[in-house]
Amino acid sequence: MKPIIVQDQVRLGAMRCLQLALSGMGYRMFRSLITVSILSLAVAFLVHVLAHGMLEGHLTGLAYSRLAPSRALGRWVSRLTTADLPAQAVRNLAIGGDDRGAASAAERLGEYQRWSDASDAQMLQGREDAQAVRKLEVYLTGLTPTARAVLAADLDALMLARKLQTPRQMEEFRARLTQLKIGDIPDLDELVNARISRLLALLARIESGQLKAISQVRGAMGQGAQLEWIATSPQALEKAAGDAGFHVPEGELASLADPAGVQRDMELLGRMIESREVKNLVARQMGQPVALINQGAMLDWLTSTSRAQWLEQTIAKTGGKPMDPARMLAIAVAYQEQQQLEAALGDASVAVEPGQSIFDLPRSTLFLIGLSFLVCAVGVANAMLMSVTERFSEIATMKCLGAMDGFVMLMFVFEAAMQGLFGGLAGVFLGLLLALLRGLVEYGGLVFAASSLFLQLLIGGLIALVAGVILAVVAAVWPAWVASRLAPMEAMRVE
Amino acid sequence: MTQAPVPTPPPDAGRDKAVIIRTLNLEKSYGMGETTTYALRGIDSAIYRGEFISVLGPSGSGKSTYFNMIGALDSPTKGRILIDEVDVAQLSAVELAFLRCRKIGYIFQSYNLIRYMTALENVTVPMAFAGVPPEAARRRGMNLLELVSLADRWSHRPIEMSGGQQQRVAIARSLCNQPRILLCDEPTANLDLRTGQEILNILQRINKDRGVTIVCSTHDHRLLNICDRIMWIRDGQVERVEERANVTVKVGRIGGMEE
Repeated sequence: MKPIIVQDQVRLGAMRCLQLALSGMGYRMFRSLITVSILSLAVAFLVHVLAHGMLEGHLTGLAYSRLAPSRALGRWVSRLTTADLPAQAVRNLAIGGDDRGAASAAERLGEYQRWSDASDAQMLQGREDAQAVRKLEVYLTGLTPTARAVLAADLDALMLARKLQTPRQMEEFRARLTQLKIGDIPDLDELVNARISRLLALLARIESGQLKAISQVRGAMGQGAQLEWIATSPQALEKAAGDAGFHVPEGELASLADPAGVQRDMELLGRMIESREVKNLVARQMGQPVALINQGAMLDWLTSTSRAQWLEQTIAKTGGKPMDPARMLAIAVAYQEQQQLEAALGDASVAVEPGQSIFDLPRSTLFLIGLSFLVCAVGVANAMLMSVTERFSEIATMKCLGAMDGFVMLMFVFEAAMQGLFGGLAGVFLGLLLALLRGLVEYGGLVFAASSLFLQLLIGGLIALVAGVILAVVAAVWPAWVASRLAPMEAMRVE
Repeated sequence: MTQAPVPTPPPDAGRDKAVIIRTLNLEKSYGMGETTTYALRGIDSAIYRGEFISVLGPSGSGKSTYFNMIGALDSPTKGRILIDEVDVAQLSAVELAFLRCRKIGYIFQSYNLIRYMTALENVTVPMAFAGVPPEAARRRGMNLLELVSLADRWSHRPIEMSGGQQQRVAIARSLCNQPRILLCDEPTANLDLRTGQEILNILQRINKDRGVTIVCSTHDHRLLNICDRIMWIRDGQVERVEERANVTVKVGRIGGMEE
């Protein structure tokens, strides 16, 4: 009888371990599938939030830039109709410009100087005064809602400063400041006593100058609406407006002629169905109550040539002057597109550029992505922990049969990596698909305009995939390590 | 802790036979402080090479713990285990794996087959760990399944087999690396009389033909007929060790075997 000679156990090669792990996975295909699908759901959630955030950022920016003509049109119509509101004029003076930022500051200031006939020094003084008002406004915005309501009611900074010119009002204001335990507002006295009357005088001069300029343009262009002028004779308008002191970038009005025509026809079409008779007929045709029929509802409904033709005949029958059905349809399409863009823009009224990377996303979206990453991590960790702990007794049996700690570890690492890979791939695919579907529902056909985002989405998906695999491996390695360190019988007792 | 007088094995018994497993004052306790429970309270025992020894004792006497200790599956709280005069505590993890893989075969009461593997795959697992090429492992596995007369069931999963068949697969698995020692923890406990007898026949054959040392814990009186020695364990201590020849077995009395 040979004696027992104890030697080192052979170490299996990585390939052999991989083979054993693979065949083990094959045996447990069903259980693996469950783990993989949990992993894929977790990753899909992350990818979906990521992709949707990117889509949203991109499409909002896109919508903003595509709506630029319509915004410019609105700006021109309002500029040619009424003088700037005092608050707006103050803002223009202070920061110089509208939502385009500082670029148009000089243009606005030039217009104001021409209309008010003020000297350079006066303009400079006006700007300083306006900036002081803005400072007060910023200060008010920084207060708590309660304090703001008590101090300023609904007034903007300019109106508040004007009101405080009365000594009694100033006294009350100061008393409230003390009551609210807010220190004195810096430079308030200077603003109220010296600046505000000077600024108001300048604003009045600007306003009357702008009104004069508007009537001068109207005189030159004759009757008709502003949209009509832009649509039909942009060159003449450019000259007339320029003569009246408006700053007109060369060619801007000409480029707005087409959108202006569409806008004009849209309003025209809206007026055509305003008569009771047409409205009733349209309501019956659309199958909706008369009260719901308006320009927007009608344009939404106008989706086919046959409907356009029906509308044309109806208007003609009731004695109106109809429009070409093809034109009607084109207008309706333009309207629907514009609605879609406006919906995509949503509340994001601030200037946004099409997002170029993940890090350009708004903070709230980043937060959401971070949160979903956490959810994904917990989901993956849970799935892997489950699948390892339920196999503690298997680990123990294998150790009884001579498996080494390293082999047990390696087996679980391989398995977790494979499951992470497959689950991750499925998750990325699922998440992207979901984001696309959601995008389709939210933005309609606009979503296809985001095709330039494809590569970035892929990179985002890849990051999520790698994160999923790493998470899966880490989450599986830890319990497997614990189990492989235990003596076989101790591991078998852990259930 | 005071120990009950432990009858040591007759000194002359060890002279003509080599000792393959020796335990010295083996203790195992679970828990800490006041809640400490002792499974083994100092066991001194010697198991000889090539013998078939039965370990008897009521449930909770520490039989299974003793088995796990001498099989190097669990570490003792105190005391030493010598397998072929080598202290198990001094072996590294790699050497322990070698020992479990090649030198000791285990047969558990609950079979402990890997449930998603077929009979043949279960049998070849330890050979894979021993580095046997898959083809050779399959051939040897089929031979072993034939030995336990399960060759026609090689592709069945444990769930598709009866308890006796599963236990026979476990026996085939335990033999696959030609172990020197076979540890059987109540191998027939979950089986009916006839299948139990089959298992016993197989064990006896292994013992006689291959000279494998078999340590077998049991409640089964039939096993006593085929073993060489009997060891009684009670309350974590060795109560008695006797040659089979010196023991008469009477069946039908609650309280176990009496002289």
